[in-house]
Amino acid sequence: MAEGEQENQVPSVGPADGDPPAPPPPVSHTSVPAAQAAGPMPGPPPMPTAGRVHAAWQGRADTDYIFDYWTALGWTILTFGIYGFYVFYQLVRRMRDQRAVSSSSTPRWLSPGNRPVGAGCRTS
Amino acid sequence: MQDELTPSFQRADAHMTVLRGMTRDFREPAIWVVLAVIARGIVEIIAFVLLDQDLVKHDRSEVGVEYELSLIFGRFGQYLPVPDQSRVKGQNNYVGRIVATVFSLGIYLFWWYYNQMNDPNRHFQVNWPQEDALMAAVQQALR
Repeated sequence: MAEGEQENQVPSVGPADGDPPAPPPPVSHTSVPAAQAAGPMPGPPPMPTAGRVHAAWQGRADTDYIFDYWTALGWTILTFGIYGFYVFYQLVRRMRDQRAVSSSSTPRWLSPGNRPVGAGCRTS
Repeated sequence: MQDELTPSFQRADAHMTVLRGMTRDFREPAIWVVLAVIARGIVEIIAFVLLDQDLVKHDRSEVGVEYELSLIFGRFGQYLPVPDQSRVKGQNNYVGRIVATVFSLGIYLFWWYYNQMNDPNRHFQVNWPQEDALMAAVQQALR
């Protein structure tokens, strides 16, 4: 036991009596990427299928912009064409949003490689 | 039941792949407006052609997904109306419209604007009852 303790002891590298203490060895920092050190931040849990369908259904008023042609034309004339740019913006935006909603709100079990038949559904 | 419904899932997945692919197309509205400010007329014509193609492609895939969903939900005892497949509109005659716009010195663009507003309006309004039915069926299935 005592022999083992001696083996584990760190050999003394201190100065001899009377000598100034040696400066501590320079601390070497190894650069570790933050993401590797802290680990990737977990994202929020995915919204359940019914929640996504419900959210898309509720947000329909925002994505399904309904134009009234004569109102848009009237405002475009009154603003010397400037409102026409807003109309053009909305035409592109609503199509982009519509596509995004359709591709994200469909039940998750329709995703590729994830087709457990009947998952999320119960027979009545 | 799995063997019975697997083809429906596969067909719906194929339609979904089309819809997901469309989200990667360049349709940033602010940039399109900037381009329209720089070259009004030409950019609008290009955008109208792309938007019309988008609407046709989107509606065709959406009808396909809705049809498969009506089969799947029906198998689980939930009623979902079968979408009207004839609702998918045909593509515009782009060459004819561009020629008409040029020869009418841009006046035809007003009519094209009218179509660009009304066709998606109709698409949304036809789709709302289908979406309401899907919402009700999902809630019913999870009850």
